[in-house]
Amino acid sequence: MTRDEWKIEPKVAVYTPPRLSSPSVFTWVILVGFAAFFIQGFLSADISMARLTQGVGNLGSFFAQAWPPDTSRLMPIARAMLETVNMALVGVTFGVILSIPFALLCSVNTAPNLIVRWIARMIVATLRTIPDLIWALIFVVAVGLGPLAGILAIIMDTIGFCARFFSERFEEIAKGPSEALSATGAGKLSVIFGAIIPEALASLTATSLFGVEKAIRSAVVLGLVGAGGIGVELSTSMRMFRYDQALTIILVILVVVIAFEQVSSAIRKRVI
Amino acid sequence: MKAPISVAGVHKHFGNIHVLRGLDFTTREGEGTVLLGANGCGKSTLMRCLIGLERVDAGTLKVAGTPIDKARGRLLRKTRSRVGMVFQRFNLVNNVSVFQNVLYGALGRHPLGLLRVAKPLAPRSERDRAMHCLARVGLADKANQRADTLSGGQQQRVAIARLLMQDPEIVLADEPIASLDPRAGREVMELLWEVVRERGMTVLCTLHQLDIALEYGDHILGMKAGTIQVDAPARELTADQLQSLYQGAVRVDGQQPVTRSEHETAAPLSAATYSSNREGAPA
Repeated sequence: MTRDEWKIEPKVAVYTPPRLSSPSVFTWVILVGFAAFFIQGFLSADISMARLTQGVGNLGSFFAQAWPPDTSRLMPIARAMLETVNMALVGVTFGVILSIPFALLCSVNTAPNLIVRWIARMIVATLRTIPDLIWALIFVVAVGLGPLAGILAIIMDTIGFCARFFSERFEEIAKGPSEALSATGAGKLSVIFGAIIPEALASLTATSLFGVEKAIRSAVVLGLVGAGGIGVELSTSMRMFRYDQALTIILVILVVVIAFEQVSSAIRKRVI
Repeated sequence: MKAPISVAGVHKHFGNIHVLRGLDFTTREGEGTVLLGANGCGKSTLMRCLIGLERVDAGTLKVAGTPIDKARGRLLRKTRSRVGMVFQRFNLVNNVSVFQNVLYGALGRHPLGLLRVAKPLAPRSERDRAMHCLARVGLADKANQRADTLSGGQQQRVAIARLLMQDPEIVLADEPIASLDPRAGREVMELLWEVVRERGMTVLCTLHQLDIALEYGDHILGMKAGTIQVDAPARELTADQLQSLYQGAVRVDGQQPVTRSEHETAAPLSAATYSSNREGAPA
């Protein structure tokens, strides 16, 4: 086989792709913009070798003081953890229940009209954009310190998360079964509750379980702003330099969060 | 007697594609009319228009005496409850039981909808009736199973039980056997026709198999590129006469099907050949 056998004509050669092609203007703008922010951020963080070595030293002394964990306050810590889990479950339950109507109003195939859908989407997007800690701060002002503020914050956060994923699910389920029910003369609500929700149910359950995991993690930190749960204990211990107590709290959180994730992934495996 | 289905001057576009190009036909009460035509000739679109799932651009569609293209709200639902539909893809609700799927057939009868039809709330009479319908299609023992655990043929029989539960005057069957293997397809066709005859329903059924069309249909409508080309009693037609429906410009979107040899087109076409390239077609 000779080289000539594979020769190409000039009119074919013009279509040969170049080895490297220049990125589009859009890509350039994004790349340059990203690089600028990255460099500025890196510089303003004032990263120096001295600070890093000092940090490692401080971390070492934190662990030295934290070990062995002080279990003398285990009972009050356990009670605070129970309160955290309670807040998460109550908040998620209400959040998921409220997410369903919101999701139905957000979805193309279930919303009564465009305006309602647009308003519902805006509400859900707003709920999602505001972080849970900020919701907690707002509700502490509104209803005072304690778990109620935390529950309300988790409800808001869950709606922002679940309503969005529920509505995506409603939009992508097969149209056939709902059309079949419409064709029997069923009304819109019957179609929604007879076909759309049953078809989406497995996915709704899985999303809700993610909601529970997410809520437990946020319930842990909500206490930092006084919205109930174990966060109060943690911030108190840290401020009083009782690192050994803080470590106990962290370990309790770790065990509970991991346990919940295991349970929820076991349930998820069964429903999907 | 008024025609159960009458279609006059119907046009329908999807974007630039002119799908239905002036259809005129009527069906007679108690008759089984089979609608034939190649993929993409507009059959399914017509069926969807007849139940109000799509709207036509021009012309009139009268179903059970109601102009369904103009019907909205309560009138549309009322008319739909008098028209049953059987789909190619069965369209059962997968996550609920077979029994519940059959109960759904009664949705159009109850103004309260699901509150009178959901399994825990349905009155005794409807529950008994649903079991009777399931027994009629030979699947009473599967009542408590989830619909998606059944085979294709069984799912279509459940869809027929749902139809029987609805007990409409008119049945629209959109390629009821195209997703099934030949044997299951024939069983389903046999059952559908038995049920329809027992209840004296009028049927409009789209099919791809010429032999089955001529065997079951009382009347044949042939569609080609969005127009009606054949409109005659089945006994006056032969398979050869219907071949022209599948030759030349058959589609509404201008794409041409892969040409088959004379021998292949003459043979009754299997369900599998057809269902494979149906999904993307706009008709």
